[in-house]
Amino acid sequence: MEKSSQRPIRVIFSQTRNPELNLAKEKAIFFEVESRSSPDTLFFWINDECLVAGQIKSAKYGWYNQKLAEEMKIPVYKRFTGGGVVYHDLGNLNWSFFVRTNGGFRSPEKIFREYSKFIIESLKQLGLDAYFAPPNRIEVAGKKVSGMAARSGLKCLLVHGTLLLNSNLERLNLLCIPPPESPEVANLSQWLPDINSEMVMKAIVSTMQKNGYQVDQSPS
Amino acid sequence: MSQNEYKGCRFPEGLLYDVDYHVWVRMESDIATIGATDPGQAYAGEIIYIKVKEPGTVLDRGAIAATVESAKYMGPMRAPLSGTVIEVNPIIKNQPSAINSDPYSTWVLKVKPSKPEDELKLLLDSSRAAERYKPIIEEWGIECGKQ
Repeated sequence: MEKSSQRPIRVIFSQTRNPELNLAKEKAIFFEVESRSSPDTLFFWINDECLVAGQIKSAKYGWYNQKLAEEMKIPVYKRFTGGGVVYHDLGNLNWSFFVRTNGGFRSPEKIFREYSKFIIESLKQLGLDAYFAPPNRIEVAGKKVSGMAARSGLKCLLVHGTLLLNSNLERLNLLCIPPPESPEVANLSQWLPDINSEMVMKAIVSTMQKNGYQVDQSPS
Repeated sequence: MSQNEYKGCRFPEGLLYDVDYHVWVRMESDIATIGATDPGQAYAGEIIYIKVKEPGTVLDRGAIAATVESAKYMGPMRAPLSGTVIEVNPIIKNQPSAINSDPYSTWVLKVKPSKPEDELKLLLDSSRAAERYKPIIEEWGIECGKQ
């Protein structure tokens, strides 16, 4: 991975589990970076149980069981990026990269491949044999542990993803209708039983530093 | 319509091209019809959704004219000309992938340009666009018409 020669990056650790606040914060950071009032940013956030949907419903993305979500009283929120529906709970770690760019449309797969490298390298440091699976997944042993989505404006690229640490997969599989040919999901705790979000966030920050980023950490 | 071509990517004559923004322009009287170029649509992949600025919106050249979603990524389509949006193609709301299958017949929006004298000269004709696109197409590793 190409080193970034001390490129500054602000790292924010969300202090709330409220999905509405976290999604609003994510959108706010996007516009801060887009307006150049903030540097590149990495935002870590964990939500209370909910479903989070992309901008539109498409058969290519899968969707969610709406009737069941209502019966189970699972709130559904909309996010700023593309893609389908994901399940969040306290066992899932969300990560969001906001990067200053020169604008323009980019290849989706290239974006996901490039930014997943930081997560994959971090997971490897923890002893997990993670890899990028096109078009937008991170897998371990053929099972999906992370899905990604992205959005760019004129000056900011947002790439974000989930990371299943020890999520409730039974509820996830009941609620989410996967896209065609999507592999089974798995928690990283299947291979690393003691895994937790602090360990993973620390590994990702360390990866950024090893790749030449000058990390400035702050709570949100 | 005759055209220039490279790796299956077509550049019909009679259109003007913005190779940085990956859009084409057809001028008819004082109205600019705008769509996505063949390499632009090939690089994006199948378009799942496109949200275009509404009629009446005033755009500067380079501003976001539409947001395009493909493969879970939402990115900008930028305006090649400053002006006011006067019409959005109704077909693309329910059939956004028509832009992929026929990028030069499936226009995206029509704009009344406010600075045509200054900005039309920034655009390229078919043969110059094809030349400019060659290294881009190589860098992207795409061939059009193979999606």
